[in-house]
Amino acid sequence: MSKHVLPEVHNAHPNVTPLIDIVMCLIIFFMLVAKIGVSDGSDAKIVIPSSILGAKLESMANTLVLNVTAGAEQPIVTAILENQQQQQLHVIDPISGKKQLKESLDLLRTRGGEAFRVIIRGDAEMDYRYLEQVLISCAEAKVQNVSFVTRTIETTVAQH
Amino acid sequence: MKMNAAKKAHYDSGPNMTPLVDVVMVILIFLMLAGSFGGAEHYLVSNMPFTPQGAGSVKPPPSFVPDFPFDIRVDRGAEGQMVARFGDTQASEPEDLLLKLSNRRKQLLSAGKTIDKIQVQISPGKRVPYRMLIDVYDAALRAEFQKVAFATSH
Repeated sequence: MSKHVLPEVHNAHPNVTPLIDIVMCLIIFFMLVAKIGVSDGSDAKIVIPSSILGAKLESMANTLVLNVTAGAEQPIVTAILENQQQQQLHVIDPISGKKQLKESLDLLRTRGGEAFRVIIRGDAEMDYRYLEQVLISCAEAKVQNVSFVTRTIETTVAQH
Repeated sequence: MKMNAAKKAHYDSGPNMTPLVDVVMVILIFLMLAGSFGGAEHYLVSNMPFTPQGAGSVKPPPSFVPDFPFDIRVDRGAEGQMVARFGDTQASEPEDLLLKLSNRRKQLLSAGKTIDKIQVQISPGKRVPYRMLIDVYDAALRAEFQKVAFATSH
């Protein structure tokens, strides 16, 4: 009787289970460490204006995002401060009369130095008289860097 | 009695793709939750120029030479359209404003001004919508002015 030969077992493929475990660990690590998805205080409900040109900010460190919409006499300004919660900052507090926005900006500018930046996220249909009060508060707090968030318009820019 | 040897069964299906699919699905879910697929956003960077008086007044350095002021007044027309004026020039459309600002920039440069010493100041009316100001701001940047800022309303 001839010997029964078993077919060759092809088991040359590497075991990828440890690879998957390492990848999962790396993903969880970057989820915890990276600032992806961390809120910078932007109010997504505000419809911001659009522009063709604009710059990308390299870093959001040492910045404060102010969400500005039209109010009655004063603008409605909200931002995330140290308590990591969205709170309203009055240009002039109706109860105490304090310049709440200016004082908060002053404090942050003192801590952050000359590089402290304010990013304004304003409603497109808001009158300038509301934005003006915010800009005056920034000027009183001696904030040198103010940027305005706009939506990108993709178009071919004519060369002039 | 001869028994044929079992034929070699060679099923080479390649590497096992199931773990790769699992990893890709996990990464996709992570990016769906963490990423943002809203419209791309960018920033118009303003500068707060030195002002000898007013809310943000700071003492300028000793050898400071003030920039050449270039004022653009922005108002709302009778039909709600934007009206931007500088000198005796007026524009109601962003593209028209861009053309006129570019011509004005060339005139200023040919008159000996340097682009980094020209301060564009947008002076809006109180009732002008913010989006019109951004259009003017955008036109000034596209006309290759480097310093653009807002002034108090008139």
